[in-house]
Amino acid sequence: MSAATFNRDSIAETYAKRHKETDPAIRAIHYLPTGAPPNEIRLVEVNGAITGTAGPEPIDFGVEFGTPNEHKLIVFDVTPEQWERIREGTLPLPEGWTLKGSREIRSRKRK
Amino acid sequence: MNKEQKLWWEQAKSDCAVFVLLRRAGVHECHMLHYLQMAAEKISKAYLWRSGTAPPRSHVGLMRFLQALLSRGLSRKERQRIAKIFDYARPEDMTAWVRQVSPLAHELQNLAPDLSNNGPNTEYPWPHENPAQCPALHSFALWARLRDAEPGRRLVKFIEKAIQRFEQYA
Repeated sequence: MSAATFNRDSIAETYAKRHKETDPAIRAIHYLPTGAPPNEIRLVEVNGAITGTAGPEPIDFGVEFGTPNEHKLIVFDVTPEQWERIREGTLPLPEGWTLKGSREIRSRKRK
Repeated sequence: MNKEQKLWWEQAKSDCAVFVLLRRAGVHECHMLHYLQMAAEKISKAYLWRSGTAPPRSHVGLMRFLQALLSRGLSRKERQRIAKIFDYARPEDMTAWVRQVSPLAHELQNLAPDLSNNGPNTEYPWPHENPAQCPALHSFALWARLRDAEPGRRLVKFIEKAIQRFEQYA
């Protein structure tokens, strides 16, 4: 299987769905593919349950090492207030990240 | 920091560095969990050595560490200082978070083979008498919770922070 079969958008949606199911405090998940390496998934997760005074910092996880779907997942957890500041441009995203081309991954409504 | 604490801290830093490498590489979950559990246990013991006597040899580290950090035996001022080191405005906020994350912390420390009750652990096939599964091929529910939910990710960051900032509260 070639690297071209790795479907980043689809895997990002799978993560977003799973994270929302796992963590009810999530308000929104934004997917930021612009400028990311092909096998890197960048998510900003807006979470209403974050406490503490620390500034947000991303955490990265390697996934499926040694398989055709090997990729890196990076999650940037922020409070709703921090997300507003990011949108306003007063709180920076991690270096190299951009909101350009980003989209919110919403849960599909059940019929 | 006494000399025993320094030795346990050095080992915790080394284990944590390996954990970060493994986490970024995405190897089998058992290895990431094994090193995270070991790093947590060692920083816990480094802290518990502050009394000058050896903590228990068994894997009881992380929960006891969290409880010791928030101990009512410490002065309000000291608890306030510790909360601040861990980025909480008040000790009560840190206590609330520890309460929330305790099930994960328990699960992590119980992954050690001698605490795993002959079930899933990060090192050896189980059950011992009649092995049916091995760690490398096992999908650990705990890893999914550490990776896929904010409280889990925050526990991972907390353990890393506890090791990085040890000199400030040892």
